[in-house]
Amino acid sequence: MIEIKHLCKSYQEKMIYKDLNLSFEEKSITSLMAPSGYGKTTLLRILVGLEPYEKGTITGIQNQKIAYVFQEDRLLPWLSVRENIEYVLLSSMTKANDSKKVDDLLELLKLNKEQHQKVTTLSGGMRRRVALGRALAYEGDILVMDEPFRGIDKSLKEQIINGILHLHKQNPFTIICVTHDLEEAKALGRVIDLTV
Amino acid sequence: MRASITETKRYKLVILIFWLGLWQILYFIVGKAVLVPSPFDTLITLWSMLQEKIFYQHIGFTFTRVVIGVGLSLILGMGFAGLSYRYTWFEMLLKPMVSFMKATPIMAIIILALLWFPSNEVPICVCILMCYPIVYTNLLTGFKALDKELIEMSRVYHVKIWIRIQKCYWPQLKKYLLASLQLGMGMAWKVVIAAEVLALPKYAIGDALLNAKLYIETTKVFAWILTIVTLSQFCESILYLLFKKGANYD
Repeated sequence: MIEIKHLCKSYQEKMIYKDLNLSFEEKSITSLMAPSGYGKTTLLRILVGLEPYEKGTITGIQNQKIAYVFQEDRLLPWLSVRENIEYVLLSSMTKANDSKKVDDLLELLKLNKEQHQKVTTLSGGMRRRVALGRALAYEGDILVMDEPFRGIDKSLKEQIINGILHLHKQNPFTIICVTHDLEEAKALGRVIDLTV
Repeated sequence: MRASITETKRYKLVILIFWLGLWQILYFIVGKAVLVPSPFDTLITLWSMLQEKIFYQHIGFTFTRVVIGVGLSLILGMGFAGLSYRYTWFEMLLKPMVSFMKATPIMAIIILALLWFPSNEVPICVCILMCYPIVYTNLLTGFKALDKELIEMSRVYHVKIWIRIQKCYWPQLKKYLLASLQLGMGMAWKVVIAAEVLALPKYAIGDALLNAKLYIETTKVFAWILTIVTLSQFCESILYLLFKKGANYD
């Protein structure tokens, strides 16, 4: 279980979190909701270990393999769709398995046709799907997602969410997702309103 | 609208004819071949030089010195730029040295090199001292311009360092490396030959130039200058072709 206890975080003298307490069951799916500027991204960055914090403890993430869908796509513009997804697999490449895994993800994200296209030629929604594909390919113990479905149309979004839920069912892992869309949050699972 | 390849070639030919014509006019105005030889005489001299074995020996040795000088500058520049990017204190430590090397006149560096190194090594040492700051400064700018978000992403996904270098850093650094190599290569030919004129190693274009000057063979001097410019341009073109893809990655 991931437990955040008495977390305090301020940014340029502005208090973002004062005594935040949260917990995420192992292999559960949780969506975090709050208005813009509340510090949702900061919380995810703290969880991933990219942001320091002043006080508090976070347990259950040490030595865990974390995949992160950043708020920005952060794709390598000189690589193709497929190469961007494979980028996070190259360190532990077991070619045959990984190739099949990437094929399945491209299928799930409806990116098969564009797999050899450079990511710079894609629309915003497609780029978002590549970023999502990269995170799913990594197969972390924890998947942290910051507005992962931004710019993706409704029907495709539903298919992708179902696909993620299917992957989760097959091989459970902890999912923490930040979103503005209540429907999207409910479709994934437990919803936590950070303002409460 | 951009000119087609054939049109570009035609323009280049017209430009070449213009400058050769201007040279011929200057030759007529000055009227003394010992000061300004004609383009025709220069080409005839160059043709006769091309038949001599020593011509290629001079070129071979000077070319080797240029390649070694630029190569070592590249290794030093890349290594030190990488360290300066990683450690701010290292960049601050090198800053006075790089500023000193950039501001010192070439002749002063050659004279110092003559005092410090054997004459055979002087051109290479001078080449390194002049080219290294160019490579270092360009590459450090490149390192500083690396996309921080992509670096952070690579770190989160624990991408191994050699894969990061190959897939993430290298495509971003290539254009800086090409720019520094093109600048460095142009500079290298000039400084290596200048150093050869003073250091007089056995086989060297600088030595051949000095001999031509001593015997007042101005046509030969012009022929050597044409050779040097051609070689320098050839090296730059090779570099451009090697890095062409990288320069246009985005």
